[in-house]
Amino acid sequence: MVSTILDEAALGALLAIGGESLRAQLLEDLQTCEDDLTEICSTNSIAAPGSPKRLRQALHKLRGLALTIGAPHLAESCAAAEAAALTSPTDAHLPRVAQISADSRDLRARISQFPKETT
Amino acid sequence: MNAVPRDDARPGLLLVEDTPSIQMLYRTVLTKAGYPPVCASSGTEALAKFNEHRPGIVLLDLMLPDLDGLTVMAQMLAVAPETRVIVITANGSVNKAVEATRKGAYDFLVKPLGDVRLVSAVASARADSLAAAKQARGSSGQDPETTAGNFVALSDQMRAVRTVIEAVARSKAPVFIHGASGTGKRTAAEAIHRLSPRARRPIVSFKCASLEGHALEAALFGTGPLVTAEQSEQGDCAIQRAEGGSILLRSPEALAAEHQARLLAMINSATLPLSPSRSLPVDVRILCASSRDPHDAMRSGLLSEELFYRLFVFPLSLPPLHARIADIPVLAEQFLPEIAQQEGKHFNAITPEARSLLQRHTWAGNLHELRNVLRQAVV
Repeated sequence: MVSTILDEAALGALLAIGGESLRAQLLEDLQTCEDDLTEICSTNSIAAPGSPKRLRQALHKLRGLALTIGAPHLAESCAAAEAAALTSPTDAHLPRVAQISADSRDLRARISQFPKETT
Repeated sequence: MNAVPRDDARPGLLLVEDTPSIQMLYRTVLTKAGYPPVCASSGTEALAKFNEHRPGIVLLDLMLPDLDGLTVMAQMLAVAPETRVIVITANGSVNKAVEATRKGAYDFLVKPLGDVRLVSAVASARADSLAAAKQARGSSGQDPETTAGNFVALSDQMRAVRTVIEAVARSKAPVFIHGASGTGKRTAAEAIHRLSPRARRPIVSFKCASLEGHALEAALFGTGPLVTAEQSEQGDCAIQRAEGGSILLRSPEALAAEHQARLLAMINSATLPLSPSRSLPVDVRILCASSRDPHDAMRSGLLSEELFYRLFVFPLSLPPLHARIADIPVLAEQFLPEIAQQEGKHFNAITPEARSLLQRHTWAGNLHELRNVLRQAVV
C-alpha cells in the first residue's frame, strides 16, 4: 500500500506550483500508466511481441511520476520491476505488475482527495 | 539541416519530457523563473524543435518513447556542440546520466527534482553559455599552452591529459583527478578551472583529511556549533568562497559518512542549508583529487557509492613523473628560478648532463622529489 508513504508535503508543494490543472494532468498520467500495465497483464504475457518495451516504458514513466509526486515506495517497486523485466521478461512478473497498478490506483485516489485548501 | 541564427545574448531553452504532467510542472517552474521553454514530448519532436529554434540550453529526459535520449543528445551536439544539454534521469539511473555527461552533457539532474535545483541548473548553463560566447568572441586564436598556465605537457602522456582537461573544462560536471602524490593533481585542477568559463571566479582548495567533526563542518559547510550567527551571515566557508567558481576537494574519501551525505545532498539540491530555515543556492563546480584509487575507495566503503557516482563523472588519471620523462627538463627549468630566488642564489639553466641525469632517475616521489633534488643542488 502506498497510502502510508505518500509525502503529502511534496504533493502539496507540487500542487502549489501547478494548481488544479497539474492535479488533473497527474491523475490522467497515472491512469495512462495503469491502463498500459492492466492491458499487459490482461494479455497475460509479458513476453508477447512489443510487451517488454511497453512494460518497461510504463514502469519507467510511473517511477518518474511517483518520485515527483512523493511516493518513493511505489517508485522503488517500479524500479525493481523495471530491472526484472529488463533481465528476464517472463510472466512470473505479472503479479508484481498487477500490484504496482493497484498501488498506483491507490495513489491516484489520494491525490484526488488531497485537500484543495492546502494547495 | 538549416542552421538557424541564434541570439547568444538570449540562449533559448528546449524542454524534452514525455510525461505531460512532469513537462507541465517543469514548464511552470521555469517560466516563473524567467526561462520559458519550448517543449517537446518525444525524441523526434525534440530534434525537429531543436533545428527550428536552435536553443542554447536543452533539458533532456533520457528515457523517451521513440528514441534513446543519448542518441538525441549526440545528434544535437553534432550540429551545435556549444549547446548546454542538461540530462534528467530517475533516481537509480545515475549511471546512465554519468554516461551522458561523459558524452558531452553539461550537467545532470536526478528525479525527484526540486524547483530550486531545476532553475539553478538552467541559470548556471545560461551564464556559462553567455560567458563562453563572450570568450569565443574575445579570444579567438588563444594558445592553450598559455591559457593552461603552468601545465607542462610535452610528453605524449601529458598531452593526452591536457586534451582531457581542455575537453572537460567547459562542462560543469565534476572531475575526479587521480594520481600518486606529487603527480600534479592540484596543477591539473587549476588548469581545468583556468580554462573554464568560471576562470574569473575563485578556485578554493579544501583538504578533506585536515579536519574532522564540527571543525570540518564549519570550514566546509559553514554550519555547526563552532559557527556564530555572524560568521554564518558572512558566509565564510569553503563552499561559499567558491561560489561561481570551483572547489577542489582533496581526498574526499576522508570525509566522514555524515559529511559525505551532506555533500551529496548539496550536489543534488544545489543548495547549502545554513540553518533549518535558511538555505543558499549554490553554483560551484566540484573538482576532486586523490592519491587513492576512487574505485577502491568506494569498494572499501570509504566513499559512499552514491557520492562516488556524482563525483566520478570525468575521471582524469595522472601519470607518474618517470612515465613522462620528456617533461622533466621543462619542469626543472620552471622550478629552478623560483627555488634559486628563495635560496638567494642565481641558477637559471640546467646543463645537458644534468638534464640527462634528471631524465634517468626513477622519481618515486614525483614532482615533490624533483623539487627537493633541485633545492639541494641550488643550496
